[in-house]
Amino acid sequence: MAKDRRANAVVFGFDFQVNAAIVLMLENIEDLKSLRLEGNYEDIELELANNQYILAQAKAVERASSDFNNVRANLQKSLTSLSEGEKKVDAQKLILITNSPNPLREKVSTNLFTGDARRDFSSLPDSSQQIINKYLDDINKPLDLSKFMIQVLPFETDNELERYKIVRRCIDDFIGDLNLNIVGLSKRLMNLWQNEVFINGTKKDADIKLQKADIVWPIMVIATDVERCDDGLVDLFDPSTYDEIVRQYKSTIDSHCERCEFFTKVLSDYNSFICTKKPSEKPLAFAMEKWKSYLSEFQIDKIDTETLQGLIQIILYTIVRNRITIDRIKRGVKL
Amino acid sequence: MIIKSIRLKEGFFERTFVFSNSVNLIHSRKNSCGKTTLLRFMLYVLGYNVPNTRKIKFKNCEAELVVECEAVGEVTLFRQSEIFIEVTINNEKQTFVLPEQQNDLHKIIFGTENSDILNNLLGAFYVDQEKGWTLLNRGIVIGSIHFNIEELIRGLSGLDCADLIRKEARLSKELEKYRQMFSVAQYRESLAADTGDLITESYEEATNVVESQLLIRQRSLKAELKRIDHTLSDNKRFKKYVADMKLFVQAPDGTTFPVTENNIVGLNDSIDLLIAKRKLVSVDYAAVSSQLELVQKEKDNEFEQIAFFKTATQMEIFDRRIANIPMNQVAIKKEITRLEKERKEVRDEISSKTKSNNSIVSAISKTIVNYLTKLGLGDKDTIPAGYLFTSNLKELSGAIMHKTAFAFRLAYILAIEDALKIKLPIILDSPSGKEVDQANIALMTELLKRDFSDHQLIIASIFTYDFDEVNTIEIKERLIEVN
Repeated sequence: MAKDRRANAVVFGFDFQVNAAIVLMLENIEDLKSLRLEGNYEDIELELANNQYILAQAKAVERASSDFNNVRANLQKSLTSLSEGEKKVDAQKLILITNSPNPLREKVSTNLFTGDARRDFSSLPDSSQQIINKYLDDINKPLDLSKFMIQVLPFETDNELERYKIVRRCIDDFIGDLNLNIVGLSKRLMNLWQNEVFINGTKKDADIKLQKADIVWPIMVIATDVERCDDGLVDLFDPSTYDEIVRQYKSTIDSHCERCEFFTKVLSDYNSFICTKKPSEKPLAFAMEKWKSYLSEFQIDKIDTETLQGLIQIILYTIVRNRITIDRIKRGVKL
Repeated sequence: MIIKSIRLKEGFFERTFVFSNSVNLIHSRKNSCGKTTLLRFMLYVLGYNVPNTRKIKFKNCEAELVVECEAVGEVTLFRQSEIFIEVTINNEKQTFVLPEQQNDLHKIIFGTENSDILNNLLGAFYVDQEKGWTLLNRGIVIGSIHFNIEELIRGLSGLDCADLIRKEARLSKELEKYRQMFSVAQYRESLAADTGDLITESYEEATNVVESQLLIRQRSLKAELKRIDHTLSDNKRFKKYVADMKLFVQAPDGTTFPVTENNIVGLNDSIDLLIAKRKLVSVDYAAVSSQLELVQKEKDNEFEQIAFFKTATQMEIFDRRIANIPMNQVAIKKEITRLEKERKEVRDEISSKTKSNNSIVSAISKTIVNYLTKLGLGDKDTIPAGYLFTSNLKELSGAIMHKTAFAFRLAYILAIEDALKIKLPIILDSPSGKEVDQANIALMTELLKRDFSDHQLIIASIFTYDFDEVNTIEIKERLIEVN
């Protein structure tokens, strides 16, 4: 039993580390260059565009809201480790990220750390600062306290909805910032990133890092998926008609949207297309008016005129929309 | 055809029997000396699949038969194995693989390639001591060799019913399958009745559904991967092509700059997007594949495992499998009835085609009536017209059956002689059967003397018969002993 519990605790700890990395990554996505778990310097390493690092120690407690036995020991270990890390790289921030709502085990600071909290050293009460300072006294070349921060990420129970609620909220916020209105996107992204980061963390070679592009491009794949009927198309198509066309001709649509020879032509036509409507209505107007000029590109057997028209309109609209979506996301995350 | 001699060799013992062209009597004073064995040896070397007798195993012996055929003259047949025969005609040796080439061999010996005739010749000229004397028009000649009068008549009259016969065979095969299905369906129903419910609709059916869903998903993901790869390589080619063109463009403000892969709107993005898409699809594909593997492995293991742990006996496993086969007993029964009806129609059609307007039928019938009259079994007024095809054998008692069988055979031999111009030997095993008295034997002998004096006659018996000239082959203790 003891062994089982320890094994569970290890899995729980690693799960926390993965999710803490996702949260830190999203908070710093604009400046992020790459992400690494269990790297050479720290549990979580975020390399930034200016070549500085954010180093984080992840400390998880299984029964976080009731068990505070090890929090002080965790704090001490983290301070030691972060001090070591700071010597090796140019660190911008040094973070202890934990799921304990009482990371210093003192009454005074308990209120500060409820919910998802971020506390610089300077914003902590004196008693808390003293606790930290006392540990630092024992360290040869302690860390720069102006870079130090304690961050609390609530993460508890075996119920996934509960355990990941804050992680999901962070992802939702991120999606909101990108102005993506896609049902179920946050869950898909969370699963995707958990897998990506987890696999990254289990690789032995510390040089293997997750680049920003590796993290961001999947969002674009999901955001540009043609199976989801874009709001802009609702006026043009009955949802069932749209679904039917996509079901039947998905690979035709995908191929045309992804093939350079074709989409560059469409984008060029779109650029020279003059539209008196609002900019947001231009893609639809373009698809509605210009589909006939692409008729010769589509030699499909046994397709009626109406479906063919719908198919071409969907393709034209999707190409333009994808262009806009990708630009927006890239701008949003500074890729 | 005349059987001239047969040489038999078993181990160190060897004996040759020479036959005359007319009457031959294989005689021994007591039973079980080897008379029947000798007759069966002849048939064995002629290529027929006849059973051993108790004392001698054919496959342990060498046998060489010399026959004189109307078609090709003297033929020597040598058989020392069950699977082939060596045949020498005019010093030319050929090998025939049995049973596949049996009809090819008989084609040479009997001078016809009509398989309807070839398949039914033995039943005409050979009368086995057990089955032979009760065989009239349909049934077993010996071992697995059958006789069928309709088939023989079709062969002799050149009537082609091949299509109908094929249809009948197909229907019979289908019927057989449906009957098997029906009994399985009945069994399945009984399982339901015993347990109140069909055992485990659940597990296997569920895994099958999951498996096929996964397979469909796997296939579509694979297709998607292929499509992405294709587009990706096209786009990369396009990228290289553009870079190689080394074009310059001028902006409205007059500045010029080169066209490179990096300043074509959307080009690199499309490649990055495709790479990311490929990665996502690959992850899905790997996940689906491993799930599929798991399901298949589980399915494979299921039966082995439960058998291994003895939580289920073979019977239980069988029941579970059966319970999972969807079957409708009523529908199967209906299909069986339909097939039976159809087959009966086909059979009737074959039969009526065979029987109607056929000169062969009337010739055989006439001979039969003639011989039955001679044997004291009635006359043309008491014997019905379709008697040749009778299936009512129950009312024929011992001696009557014996003589009737004899008359039928003689009639067949004459009909074959007419059609093929060959004189078949007449081989009779123990014609003095249990309940046939001397008077009846005399009647039969008379008939042979009168109408078949130019046929070779080979009789195996412990009695003697009243013929003018008889070549008696005496067997004392054993069949194969030095002459």
